[in-house]
Amino acid sequence: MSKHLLNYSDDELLTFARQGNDEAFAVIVNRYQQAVLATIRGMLGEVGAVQDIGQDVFIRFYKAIDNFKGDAKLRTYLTRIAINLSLNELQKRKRKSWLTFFRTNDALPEISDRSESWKRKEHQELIDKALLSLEKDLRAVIVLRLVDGFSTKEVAEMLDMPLGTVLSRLSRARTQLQEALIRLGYHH
Amino acid sequence: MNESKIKELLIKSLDADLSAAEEERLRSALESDAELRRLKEQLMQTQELMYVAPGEVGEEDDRAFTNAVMDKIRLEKADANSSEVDFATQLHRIFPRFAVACCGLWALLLLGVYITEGRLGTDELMGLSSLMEDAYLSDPFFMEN
Repeated sequence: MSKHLLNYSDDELLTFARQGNDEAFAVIVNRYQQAVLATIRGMLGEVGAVQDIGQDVFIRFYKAIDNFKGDAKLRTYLTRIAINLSLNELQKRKRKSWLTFFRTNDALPEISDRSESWKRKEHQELIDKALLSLEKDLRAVIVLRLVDGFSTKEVAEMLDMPLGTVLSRLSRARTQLQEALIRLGYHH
Repeated sequence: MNESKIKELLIKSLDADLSAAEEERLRSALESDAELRRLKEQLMQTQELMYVAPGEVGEEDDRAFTNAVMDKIRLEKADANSSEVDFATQLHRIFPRFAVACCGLWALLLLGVYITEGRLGTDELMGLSSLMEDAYLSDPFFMEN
């Protein structure tokens, strides 16, 4: 990846990428991959498909780069693709009846050693499990709002739903998340 | 205001701006209700818990991901180019066969006309040769005679 491209803005990189400069597109991938992967991980949990779907997000964006008019921020646009692909993946899993395995509350294992300090990996696992216990629609709003840090208004725009619906889903999601975390052994 | 309404207000306050009146209602409820204060604290902690960056990712992982994406893009581009060439080649191959098939069809058609009509004139090709006979058949005087 060319070092000199790292300092360019998103708009400039997009212009270069549209002109066929793949190095510029690689900088975009590098810049937003963590945000995209965090969204997908929040939606699907830590599974092998996260990386594949993450790559698919950028490939789809590359193919449709001319469709991006800059109305939304690039991160918002990529996150929207990530959410849609994650929902598709969940739909596929549902069709294969795998989702019940992932979502059944009984299947949530307890954290074995509660006296151990919260290491980052355990922490991530805990969050993943808590998120996976939420309903699909609630998960999308909570991932965008709490994991990705988008504002409620941005979440509403991204999911194309009224602000009131987002607020009520957030409220339900927070309650369910709280319950799931307690069930998994997290105590405040 | 009942307890559930206050809880709703509390949760709403985490995601949206409250009106001045709502803010005042929530503030006074929080002052008087220890349980509500505890709930607020729990919600804030959950929120903080979720904001923690997911896993430490090294520069190596980042580069590997970027390379994987760019490799796939290059592969797709190559596939697209080769499929375009294939289509052109196929068209080139198909055209002579198509032309030969058309010529064969014409020859069969002409042969069929020749066999049924006994000759291969313009009238036969246009299907006008039988009109004369039809005229005889439909002529009542001809039938009478």
